[in-house]
Amino acid sequence: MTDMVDRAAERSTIWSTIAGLARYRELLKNLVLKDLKLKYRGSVLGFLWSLVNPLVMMGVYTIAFKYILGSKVEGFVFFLLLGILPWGFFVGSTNMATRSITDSSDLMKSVRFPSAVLPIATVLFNFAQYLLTIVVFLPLMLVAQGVPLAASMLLFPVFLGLQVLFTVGVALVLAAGTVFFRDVRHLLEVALPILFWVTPIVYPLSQVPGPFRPLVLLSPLSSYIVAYQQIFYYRQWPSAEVWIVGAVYGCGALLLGMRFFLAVEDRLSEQL
Amino acid sequence: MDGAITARDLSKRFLLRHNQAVELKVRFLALFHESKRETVEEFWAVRDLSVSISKGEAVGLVGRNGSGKSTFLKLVAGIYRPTSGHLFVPRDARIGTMIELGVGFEPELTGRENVFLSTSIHGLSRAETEAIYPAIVEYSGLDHFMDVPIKNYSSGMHMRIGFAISANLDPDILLLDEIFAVGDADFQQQCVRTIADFRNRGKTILFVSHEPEAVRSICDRVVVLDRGRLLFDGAVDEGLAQYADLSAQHSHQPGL
Repeated sequence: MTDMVDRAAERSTIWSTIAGLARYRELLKNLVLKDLKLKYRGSVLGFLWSLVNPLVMMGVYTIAFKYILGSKVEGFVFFLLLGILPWGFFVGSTNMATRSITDSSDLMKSVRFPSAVLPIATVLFNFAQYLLTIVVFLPLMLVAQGVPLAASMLLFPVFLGLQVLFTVGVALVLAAGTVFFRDVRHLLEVALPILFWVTPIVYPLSQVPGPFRPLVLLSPLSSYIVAYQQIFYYRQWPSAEVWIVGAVYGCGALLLGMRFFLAVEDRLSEQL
Repeated sequence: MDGAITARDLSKRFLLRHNQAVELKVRFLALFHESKRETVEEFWAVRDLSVSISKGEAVGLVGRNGSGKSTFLKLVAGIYRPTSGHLFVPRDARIGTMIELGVGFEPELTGRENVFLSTSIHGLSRAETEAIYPAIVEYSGLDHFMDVPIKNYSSGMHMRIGFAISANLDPDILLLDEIFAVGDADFQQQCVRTIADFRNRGKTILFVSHEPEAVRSICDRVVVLDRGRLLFDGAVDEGLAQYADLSAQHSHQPGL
Protein backbone atom coordinates (compact mmCIF):
# COMPACT_ATOMS: atom_id res chain seq x y z
CA MET A 1 0.00 0.00 0.00
CA THR A 2 1.30 3.42 -0.88
CA ASP A 3 2.07 5.93 1.82
CA MET A 4 -1.09 7.93 2.44
CA VAL A 5 -1.64 11.30 4.03
CA ASP A 6 -4.90 12.37 5.68
CA ARG A 7 -5.90 15.85 4.53
CA ALA A 8 -7.87 16.26 7.75
CA ALA A 9 -4.80 15.66 9.89
CA GLU A 10 -2.29 17.73 7.94
CA ARG A 11 -0.85 20.43 10.14
CA SER A 12 1.70 22.98 9.09
CA THR A 13 4.53 23.55 11.49
CA ILE A 14 7.29 26.10 11.33
CA TRP A 15 9.61 23.40 9.98
CA SER A 16 7.21 22.15 7.34
CA THR A 17 6.66 25.76 6.25
CA ILE A 18 10.38 26.32 5.93
CA ALA A 19 10.71 23.07 3.98
CA GLY A 20 7.81 24.17 1.75
CA LEU A 21 9.42 27.54 1.11
CA ALA A 22 12.69 25.82 0.24
CA ARG A 23 10.87 23.59 -2.22
CA TYR A 24 9.12 26.59 -3.78
CA ARG A 25 12.23 28.77 -3.97
CA GLU A 26 11.85 28.90 -7.75
CA LEU A 27 8.42 30.48 -7.25
CA LEU A 28 9.87 32.93 -4.75
CA LYS A 29 12.54 33.90 -7.25
CA ASN A 30 10.04 34.22 -10.09
CA LEU A 31 7.70 36.42 -8.05
CA VAL A 32 10.55 38.77 -7.18
CA LEU A 33 11.73 38.86 -10.81
CA LYS A 34 8.15 39.46 -11.97
CA ASP A 35 7.82 42.53 -9.77
CA LEU A 36 11.21 43.85 -10.89
CA LYS A 37 10.28 43.35 -14.56
CA LEU A 38 6.87 44.93 -14.12
CA LYS A 39 8.42 47.90 -12.43
CA TYR A 40 11.08 48.64 -15.00
CA ARG A 41 9.82 47.24 -18.29
CA GLY A 42 8.62 49.92 -20.65
CA SER A 43 10.02 52.81 -18.68
CA VAL A 44 12.82 54.75 -20.36
CA LEU A 45 14.78 55.57 -17.23
CA GLY A 46 14.07 52.18 -15.67
CA PHE A 47 16.13 51.60 -12.59
CA LEU A 48 17.10 55.29 -12.37
CA TRP A 49 13.60 55.94 -11.03
CA SER A 50 14.49 53.99 -7.92
CA LEU A 51 17.27 56.48 -7.30
CA VAL A 52 15.07 59.52 -7.88
CA ASN A 53 12.76 58.90 -4.95
CA PRO A 54 15.48 58.78 -2.25
CA LEU A 55 17.22 61.75 -3.89
CA VAL A 56 14.08 63.87 -3.73
CA MET A 57 13.38 62.83 -0.14
CA MET A 58 16.93 63.63 0.86
CA GLY A 59 16.78 67.01 -0.89
CA VAL A 60 13.57 67.98 0.88
CA TYR A 61 14.67 66.85 4.33
CA THR A 62 18.08 68.47 3.94
CA ILE A 63 16.48 71.82 3.11
CA ALA A 64 14.03 71.49 5.97
CA PHE A 65 16.39 70.29 8.67
CA LYS A 66 19.73 71.73 7.76
CA TYR A 67 18.83 75.05 6.21
CA ILE A 68 15.53 75.92 7.88
CA LEU A 69 15.72 74.24 11.28
CA GLY A 70 19.52 74.50 11.42
CA SER A 71 20.41 70.92 12.34
CA LYS A 72 23.90 70.71 13.80
CA VAL A 73 24.53 67.24 12.37
CA GLU A 74 27.64 67.36 10.20
CA GLY A 75 27.38 65.69 6.84
CA PHE A 76 23.60 65.72 7.24
CA VAL A 77 22.96 64.26 3.78
CA PHE A 78 25.13 61.24 4.55
CA PHE A 79 23.46 60.77 7.93
CA LEU A 80 20.01 61.02 6.35
CA LEU A 81 20.83 58.53 3.63
CA LEU A 82 21.62 55.82 6.17
CA GLY A 83 18.11 56.16 7.62
CA ILE A 84 15.98 57.02 4.60
CA LEU A 85 16.98 54.03 2.46
CA PRO A 86 16.21 51.30 5.04
CA TRP A 87 13.06 53.21 5.98
CA GLY A 88 11.95 53.15 2.34
CA PHE A 89 12.58 49.39 2.28
CA PHE A 90 10.30 48.90 5.28
CA VAL A 91 7.51 51.13 3.95
CA GLY A 92 7.59 49.54 0.51
CA SER A 93 7.58 46.02 1.95
CA THR A 94 4.74 46.54 4.40
CA ASN A 95 2.52 48.36 1.90
CA MET A 96 2.95 45.68 -0.73
CA ALA A 97 2.70 42.80 1.75
CA THR A 98 -0.69 44.03 2.95
CA ARG A 99 -2.14 43.43 -0.51
CA SER A 100 -0.06 40.38 -1.40
CA ILE A 101 -2.58 37.68 -0.45
CA THR A 102 -5.85 39.53 -1.09
CA ASP A 103 -4.66 40.40 -4.61
CA SER A 104 -3.96 36.73 -5.35
CA SER A 105 -7.31 35.33 -4.25
CA ASP A 106 -7.89 33.44 -7.54
CA LEU A 107 -4.56 31.73 -7.17
CA MET A 108 -5.16 30.92 -3.51
CA LYS A 109 -8.48 29.28 -4.41
CA SER A 110 -7.26 27.12 -7.25
CA VAL A 111 -3.70 25.98 -6.57
CA ARG A 112 -2.11 24.64 -3.42
CA PHE A 113 1.22 26.24 -2.62
CA PRO A 114 2.79 27.68 0.55
CA SER A 115 0.99 31.01 0.70
CA ALA A 116 3.70 32.56 2.88
CA VAL A 117 5.62 32.82 -0.40
CA LEU A 118 3.49 35.82 -1.38
CA PRO A 119 4.32 38.26 1.44
CA ILE A 120 7.92 37.02 1.61
CA ALA A 121 8.36 37.70 -2.12
CA THR A 122 7.18 41.30 -1.67
CA VAL A 123 9.75 41.80 1.10
CA LEU A 124 12.50 40.32 -1.04
CA PHE A 125 11.51 42.47 -4.02
CA ASN A 126 11.77 45.60 -1.89
CA PHE A 127 14.99 44.32 -0.39
CA ALA A 128 16.45 43.85 -3.87
CA GLN A 129 15.57 47.44 -4.72
CA TYR A 130 17.05 48.65 -1.45
CA LEU A 131 20.29 46.80 -2.15
CA LEU A 132 20.49 48.28 -5.64
CA THR A 133 20.07 51.82 -4.34
CA ILE A 134 22.52 51.31 -1.50
CA VAL A 135 25.10 49.87 -3.88
CA VAL A 136 24.90 53.14 -5.82
CA PHE A 137 24.66 55.65 -2.97
CA LEU A 138 26.84 54.18 -0.24
CA PRO A 139 30.18 54.10 -2.11
CA LEU A 140 29.47 57.58 -3.51
CA MET A 141 28.87 58.92 -0.03
CA LEU A 142 31.85 57.16 1.51
CA VAL A 143 34.08 58.72 -1.14
CA ALA A 144 32.46 62.16 -0.93
CA GLN A 145 32.76 62.19 2.86
CA GLY A 146 36.27 60.77 2.79
CA VAL A 147 35.26 57.95 5.11
CA PRO A 148 37.99 55.29 5.41
CA LEU A 149 36.92 51.67 5.25
CA ALA A 150 36.70 50.02 8.65
CA ALA A 151 36.36 46.46 9.93
CA SER A 152 33.04 47.34 11.61
CA MET A 153 31.53 47.73 8.13
CA LEU A 154 31.65 43.96 7.81
CA LEU A 155 28.75 43.90 10.27
CA PHE A 156 26.49 45.76 7.85
CA PRO A 157 25.13 42.54 6.26
CA VAL A 158 24.33 41.14 9.72
CA PHE A 159 22.02 44.04 10.54
CA LEU A 160 20.60 44.01 7.03
CA GLY A 161 19.74 40.35 7.61
CA LEU A 162 18.11 41.10 10.95
CA GLN A 163 16.05 43.89 9.37
CA VAL A 164 14.90 41.47 6.65
CA LEU A 165 13.83 38.93 9.31
CA PHE A 166 11.95 41.64 11.17
CA THR A 167 10.25 42.86 8.01
CA VAL A 168 9.26 39.33 6.95
CA GLY A 169 7.66 38.78 10.35
CA VAL A 170 5.65 41.99 10.08
CA ALA A 171 4.75 41.26 6.46
CA LEU A 172 3.33 37.82 7.33
CA VAL A 173 1.03 39.35 9.94
CA LEU A 174 -0.08 42.18 7.66
CA ALA A 175 -0.72 39.93 4.66
CA ALA A 176 -2.80 37.37 6.56
CA GLY A 177 -4.42 39.98 8.81
CA THR A 178 -5.74 41.91 5.80
CA VAL A 179 -7.67 38.84 4.67
CA PHE A 180 -9.72 39.01 7.88
CA PHE A 181 -9.68 42.75 8.46
CA ARG A 182 -9.48 45.13 5.52
CA ASP A 183 -8.73 47.89 8.02
CA VAL A 184 -5.16 46.66 8.38
CA ARG A 185 -4.25 48.71 5.31
CA HIS A 186 -5.64 51.90 6.86
CA LEU A 187 -4.11 51.19 10.24
CA LEU A 188 -0.76 50.85 8.51
CA GLU A 189 -1.28 54.20 6.77
CA VAL A 190 -1.75 55.82 10.17
CA ALA A 191 1.05 53.91 11.89
CA LEU A 192 3.84 54.52 9.36
CA PRO A 193 4.11 58.33 9.73
CA ILE A 194 4.14 57.96 13.53
CA LEU A 195 6.82 55.31 13.22
CA PHE A 196 8.86 57.60 10.98
CA TRP A 197 9.09 60.35 13.59
CA VAL A 198 9.89 58.04 16.51
CA THR A 199 12.77 56.53 14.55
CA PRO A 200 16.05 58.47 14.54
CA ILE A 201 16.12 59.13 10.80
CA VAL A 202 16.13 62.92 10.51
CA TYR A 203 17.66 63.45 13.97
CA PRO A 204 20.44 61.56 15.78
CA LEU A 205 19.58 59.41 18.80
CA SER A 206 22.00 61.52 20.85
CA GLN A 207 19.71 64.55 20.43
CA VAL A 208 16.79 62.77 22.06
CA PRO A 209 16.39 63.86 25.72
CA GLY A 210 17.89 61.22 28.04
CA PRO A 211 14.71 59.70 29.52
CA PHE A 212 13.15 59.19 26.09
CA ARG A 213 16.22 57.72 24.47
CA PRO A 214 15.51 54.07 25.43
CA LEU A 215 11.94 54.48 24.19
CA VAL A 216 13.08 55.78 20.82
CA LEU A 217 15.60 52.96 20.58
CA LEU A 218 12.78 50.51 21.27
CA SER A 219 10.66 51.74 18.37
CA PRO A 220 10.63 48.89 15.85
CA LEU A 221 13.10 50.14 13.25
CA SER A 222 15.43 52.21 15.41
CA SER A 223 17.95 49.53 16.28
CA TYR A 224 18.66 48.77 12.60
CA ILE A 225 18.93 52.38 11.53
CA VAL A 226 21.06 53.34 14.54
CA ALA A 227 23.31 50.36 13.73
CA TYR A 228 23.80 51.60 10.14
CA GLN A 229 24.59 55.08 11.47
CA GLN A 230 27.06 53.73 14.03
CA ILE A 231 28.79 51.57 11.44
CA PHE A 232 29.15 54.13 8.64
CA TYR A 233 28.56 57.59 10.08
CA TYR A 234 30.12 57.34 13.53
CA ARG A 235 32.57 54.62 12.44
CA GLN A 236 31.99 52.58 15.60
CA TRP A 237 31.15 49.01 16.37
CA PRO A 238 27.39 48.69 16.93
CA SER A 239 26.64 49.20 20.63
CA ALA A 240 25.36 46.44 22.90
CA GLU A 241 21.81 47.87 23.14
CA VAL A 242 21.56 47.98 19.37
CA TRP A 243 22.70 44.38 19.10
CA ILE A 244 20.21 43.16 21.68
CA VAL A 245 17.19 45.14 20.45
CA GLY A 246 17.93 44.39 16.80
CA ALA A 247 18.37 40.66 17.36
CA VAL A 248 15.34 40.29 19.65
CA TYR A 249 13.09 42.28 17.31
CA GLY A 250 14.33 40.48 14.21
CA CYS A 251 14.01 36.93 15.54
CA GLY A 252 10.96 37.74 17.68
CA ALA A 253 8.99 39.31 14.85
CA LEU A 254 9.82 36.44 12.52
CA LEU A 255 8.78 33.83 15.08
CA LEU A 256 5.57 35.58 16.09
CA GLY A 257 4.76 36.40 12.47
CA MET A 258 5.15 32.78 11.43
CA ARG A 259 3.09 31.52 14.36
CA PHE A 260 0.30 33.94 13.54
CA PHE A 261 0.46 33.00 9.88
CA LEU A 262 0.37 29.27 10.65
CA ALA A 263 -2.59 29.74 12.97
CA VAL A 264 -4.74 31.32 10.25
CA GLU A 265 -3.22 29.84 7.08
CA ASP A 266 -5.87 27.12 6.69
CA ARG A 267 -8.67 29.62 6.69
CA LEU A 268 -7.16 32.01 4.14
CA SER A 269 -8.44 30.30 1.00
CA GLU A 270 -12.03 30.09 2.22
CA GLN A 271 -12.05 33.57 3.72
CA LEU A 272 -10.93 35.25 0.48
CA MET B 1 -5.65 -1.86 -1.69
CA ASP B 2 -4.15 0.82 -3.84
CA GLY B 3 -6.69 3.53 -3.21
CA ALA B 4 -5.67 6.76 -4.79
CA ILE B 5 -8.26 8.78 -2.90
CA THR B 6 -10.33 7.59 0.06
CA ALA B 7 -12.88 9.78 1.79
CA ARG B 8 -14.40 8.53 5.03
CA ASP B 9 -17.27 10.48 6.63
CA LEU B 10 -15.77 13.55 5.03
CA SER B 11 -17.44 16.85 5.85
CA LYS B 12 -16.67 20.43 5.01
CA ARG B 13 -18.51 23.26 6.68
CA PHE B 14 -18.36 26.84 5.51
CA LEU B 15 -19.49 29.68 7.67
CA LEU B 16 -21.52 32.07 5.58
CA ARG B 17 -21.19 35.41 7.24
CA HIS B 18 -23.98 37.79 6.50
CA ASN B 19 -22.97 41.40 7.06
CA GLN B 20 -19.46 40.14 7.43
CA ALA B 21 -17.46 42.64 9.42
CA VAL B 22 -14.16 42.83 7.59
CA GLU B 23 -14.07 46.51 8.49
CA LEU B 24 -13.83 47.82 12.01
CA LYS B 25 -16.43 50.48 11.20
CA VAL B 26 -19.01 47.78 10.59
CA ARG B 27 -18.12 46.03 13.83
CA PHE B 28 -18.60 49.29 15.64
CA LEU B 29 -21.96 50.02 14.01
CA ALA B 30 -23.08 46.51 14.86
CA LEU B 31 -22.96 47.45 18.52
CA PHE B 32 -25.91 49.75 17.96
CA HIS B 33 -27.77 48.40 14.94
CA GLU B 34 -29.32 44.99 15.00
CA SER B 35 -29.47 44.91 11.18
CA LYS B 36 -25.72 45.45 10.87
CA ARG B 37 -24.90 42.63 13.19
CA GLU B 38 -23.01 39.72 11.76
CA THR B 39 -24.98 36.53 11.56
CA VAL B 40 -23.26 33.30 10.82
CA GLU B 41 -24.98 30.57 8.91
CA GLU B 42 -23.53 27.13 8.66
CA PHE B 43 -23.31 25.64 5.23
CA TRP B 44 -22.21 22.03 4.85
CA ALA B 45 -20.77 21.87 1.35
CA VAL B 46 -19.78 18.22 1.82
CA ARG B 47 -21.53 16.07 4.39
CA ASP B 48 -20.52 12.61 5.64
CA LEU B 49 -19.13 11.62 2.29
CA SER B 50 -17.51 8.21 2.01
CA VAL B 51 -16.12 7.28 -1.34
CA SER B 52 -13.09 5.38 -2.51
CA ILE B 53 -11.38 5.93 -5.82
CA SER B 54 -8.68 3.58 -7.03
CA LYS B 55 -5.57 4.46 -8.90
CA GLY B 56 -6.23 4.76 -12.62
CA GLU B 57 -9.97 5.26 -12.33
CA ALA B 58 -11.73 8.09 -14.14
CA VAL B 59 -14.62 9.21 -12.00
CA GLY B 60 -17.25 11.74 -13.02
CA LEU B 61 -18.63 13.96 -10.28
CA VAL B 62 -22.09 15.23 -11.13
CA GLY B 63 -24.69 17.14 -9.22
CA ARG B 64 -26.54 20.41 -9.28
CA ASN B 65 -24.87 23.70 -8.44
CA GLY B 66 -23.86 23.81 -4.81
CA SER B 67 -23.86 20.03 -4.44
CA GLY B 68 -20.26 20.00 -3.23
CA LYS B 69 -18.42 18.78 -6.34
CA SER B 70 -15.95 21.62 -6.56
CA THR B 71 -15.49 21.68 -2.79
CA PHE B 72 -14.61 17.99 -2.92
CA LEU B 73 -11.98 18.68 -5.60
CA LYS B 74 -10.49 21.46 -3.51
CA LEU B 75 -10.39 19.21 -0.47
CA VAL B 76 -8.52 16.57 -2.47
CA ALA B 77 -6.17 19.24 -3.80
CA GLY B 78 -5.52 20.45 -0.25
CA ILE B 79 -6.80 23.95 -0.90
CA TYR B 80 -9.49 23.60 1.78
CA ARG B 81 -9.09 21.66 5.00
CA PRO B 82 -11.78 19.09 5.94
CA THR B 83 -13.97 20.05 8.90
CA SER B 84 -14.30 16.44 10.02
CA GLY B 85 -13.79 12.91 8.78
CA HIS B 86 -10.84 11.67 6.80
CA LEU B 87 -9.54 12.16 3.31
CA PHE B 88 -6.59 10.03 2.32
CA VAL B 89 -4.45 10.84 -0.68
CA PRO B 90 -1.06 9.36 -1.60
CA ARG B 91 1.66 11.35 0.12
CA ASP B 92 3.91 11.87 -2.85
CA ALA B 93 1.32 12.05 -5.60
CA ARG B 94 1.46 15.05 -7.86
CA ILE B 95 -2.02 16.46 -7.95
CA GLY B 96 -2.83 18.47 -11.04
CA THR B 97 -5.64 20.94 -10.72
CA MET B 98 -7.45 22.26 -13.73
CA ILE B 99 -9.91 24.22 -11.69
CA GLU B 100 -9.25 27.47 -13.39
CA LEU B 101 -7.02 27.76 -16.43
CA GLY B 102 -4.34 30.38 -16.62
CA VAL B 103 -4.81 31.59 -13.07
CA GLY B 104 -1.83 33.51 -11.78
CA PHE B 105 -0.89 34.82 -15.22
CA GLU B 106 0.60 38.28 -15.26
CA PRO B 107 -0.78 40.24 -18.24
CA GLU B 108 2.34 42.35 -18.74
CA LEU B 109 4.71 39.38 -18.94
CA THR B 110 5.26 37.38 -22.12
CA GLY B 111 3.85 33.94 -22.76
CA ARG B 112 7.21 32.37 -22.05
CA GLU B 113 7.68 34.24 -18.79
CA ASN B 114 4.19 33.27 -17.72
CA VAL B 115 4.88 29.61 -18.44
CA PHE B 116 7.88 29.71 -16.12
CA LEU B 117 5.93 31.60 -13.47
CA SER B 118 2.98 29.25 -13.69
CA THR B 119 4.98 26.04 -13.46
CA SER B 120 6.84 27.35 -10.44
CA ILE B 121 3.48 27.95 -8.74
CA HIS B 122 3.01 24.21 -9.17
CA GLY B 123 6.36 23.60 -7.52
CA LEU B 124 8.54 22.89 -10.55
CA SER B 125 12.18 23.88 -10.64
CA ARG B 126 13.63 25.84 -13.54
CA ALA B 127 15.32 22.74 -14.97
CA GLU B 128 12.05 20.77 -14.82
CA THR B 129 10.25 23.57 -16.63
CA GLU B 130 12.92 23.82 -19.30
CA ALA B 131 12.49 20.10 -19.92
CA ILE B 132 8.76 20.40 -20.63
CA TYR B 133 8.78 23.87 -22.17
CA PRO B 134 9.04 22.72 -25.82
CA ALA B 135 6.14 20.35 -25.27
CA ILE B 136 4.03 23.13 -23.75
CA VAL B 137 4.71 25.44 -26.69
CA GLU B 138 3.97 22.75 -29.24
CA TYR B 139 0.83 21.67 -27.44
CA SER B 140 -0.51 25.21 -27.27
CA GLY B 141 0.29 25.93 -30.93
CA LEU B 142 1.34 29.43 -29.92
CA ASP B 143 4.95 29.19 -31.05
CA HIS B 144 4.94 32.67 -32.57
CA PHE B 145 3.34 34.33 -29.59
CA MET B 146 5.60 33.22 -26.78
CA ASP B 147 7.47 36.51 -26.63
CA VAL B 148 4.27 38.57 -26.75
CA PRO B 149 2.78 39.87 -23.49
CA ILE B 150 -0.19 37.77 -22.39
CA LYS B 151 -2.37 40.89 -22.27
CA ASN B 152 -2.36 40.79 -26.09
CA TYR B 153 -3.63 37.21 -26.17
CA SER B 154 -7.23 36.46 -27.04
CA SER B 155 -9.20 34.67 -24.36
CA GLY B 156 -8.91 31.48 -26.42
CA MET B 157 -5.12 31.75 -26.55
CA HIS B 158 -5.07 32.47 -22.85
CA MET B 159 -6.92 29.23 -22.15
CA ARG B 160 -4.85 27.25 -24.62
CA ILE B 161 -1.60 28.15 -22.92
CA GLY B 162 -3.13 27.52 -19.50
CA PHE B 163 -4.31 24.09 -20.53
CA ALA B 164 -1.02 23.32 -22.27
CA ILE B 165 0.82 23.97 -19.00
CA SER B 166 -1.56 21.84 -16.92
CA ALA B 167 -1.48 19.01 -19.46
CA ASN B 168 2.31 18.85 -19.38
CA LEU B 169 2.76 18.90 -15.61
CA ASP B 170 2.30 15.13 -15.65
CA PRO B 171 0.19 14.75 -12.49
CA ASP B 172 -0.67 11.40 -10.95
CA ILE B 173 -4.11 12.63 -10.00
CA LEU B 174 -5.90 15.05 -12.28
CA LEU B 175 -8.72 17.23 -10.99
CA LEU B 176 -10.84 18.80 -13.71
CA ASP B 177 -13.54 21.32 -13.01
CA GLU B 178 -15.87 22.32 -15.84
CA ILE B 179 -13.11 23.02 -18.26
CA PHE B 180 -15.34 22.22 -21.21
CA ALA B 181 -17.56 25.14 -20.45
CA VAL B 182 -14.98 27.30 -22.18
CA GLY B 183 -13.20 27.26 -25.51
CA ASP B 184 -14.10 26.47 -29.10
CA ALA B 185 -14.73 23.04 -30.61
CA ASP B 186 -11.06 22.62 -31.51
CA PHE B 187 -9.97 23.30 -27.99
CA GLN B 188 -12.56 20.98 -26.55
CA GLN B 189 -11.42 18.16 -28.81
CA GLN B 190 -7.86 18.70 -27.74
CA CYS B 191 -8.99 18.52 -24.11
CA VAL B 192 -10.81 15.25 -24.72
CA ARG B 193 -7.77 13.75 -26.46
CA THR B 194 -5.47 14.81 -23.66
CA ILE B 195 -7.72 13.43 -20.96
CA ALA B 196 -8.09 10.16 -22.86
CA ASP B 197 -4.32 10.02 -23.04
CA PHE B 198 -4.08 10.54 -19.27
CA ARG B 199 -6.53 7.71 -18.79
CA ASN B 200 -4.56 5.37 -20.97
CA ARG B 201 -1.48 6.12 -18.95
CA GLY B 202 -3.23 4.99 -15.78
CA LYS B 203 -3.68 8.37 -14.13
CA THR B 204 -6.50 8.90 -11.69
CA ILE B 205 -9.03 11.43 -12.96
CA LEU B 206 -11.74 13.28 -11.09
CA PHE B 207 -13.97 15.06 -13.54
CA VAL B 208 -16.62 17.59 -12.60
CA SER B 209 -19.06 18.35 -15.37
CA HIS B 210 -22.66 19.11 -16.16
CA GLU B 211 -22.41 17.62 -19.61
CA PRO B 212 -23.50 13.98 -19.84
CA GLU B 213 -21.68 13.48 -23.15
CA ALA B 214 -18.36 14.60 -21.75
CA VAL B 215 -18.80 12.40 -18.69
CA ARG B 216 -19.72 9.42 -20.84
CA SER B 217 -16.68 9.81 -23.06
CA ILE B 218 -14.21 10.15 -20.21
CA CYS B 219 -15.43 8.37 -17.11
CA ASP B 220 -15.87 4.75 -16.15
CA ARG B 221 -17.77 5.54 -12.99
CA VAL B 222 -20.08 8.28 -11.78
CA VAL B 223 -20.61 9.74 -8.34
CA VAL B 224 -23.74 11.83 -7.89
CA LEU B 225 -23.71 14.40 -5.11
CA ASP B 226 -26.68 16.29 -3.77
CA ARG B 227 -26.40 18.95 -1.09
CA GLY B 228 -23.02 17.63 -0.10
CA ARG B 229 -24.20 14.06 0.35
CA LEU B 230 -23.53 10.99 -1.73
CA LEU B 231 -26.61 10.06 -3.72
CA PHE B 232 -25.22 7.48 -6.09
CA ASP B 233 -21.95 5.76 -6.81
CA GLY B 234 -21.68 3.34 -9.69
CA ALA B 235 -22.10 2.81 -13.43
CA VAL B 236 -21.97 5.81 -15.72
CA ASP B 237 -25.34 5.46 -17.44
CA GLU B 238 -27.20 4.78 -14.24
CA GLY B 239 -25.52 7.71 -12.52
CA LEU B 240 -26.29 10.09 -15.34
CA ALA B 241 -29.91 8.94 -15.31
CA GLN B 242 -30.08 9.66 -11.58
CA TYR B 243 -28.65 13.08 -12.18
CA ALA B 244 -31.16 13.76 -14.96
CA ASP B 245 -34.01 12.73 -12.63
CA LEU B 246 -32.66 14.98 -9.95
CA SER B 247 -32.48 17.96 -12.28
CA ALA B 248 -35.95 17.28 -13.64
CA GLN B 249 -37.45 16.98 -10.14
CA HIS B 250 -36.09 20.29 -9.08
CA SER B 251 -36.96 22.15 -12.23
CA HIS B 252 -40.62 21.12 -11.65
CA GLN B 253 -40.64 22.25 -8.09
CA PRO B 254 -41.91 25.79 -7.94
CA GLY B 255 -39.92 28.16 -5.81
CA LEU B 256 -36.66 26.30 -6.06
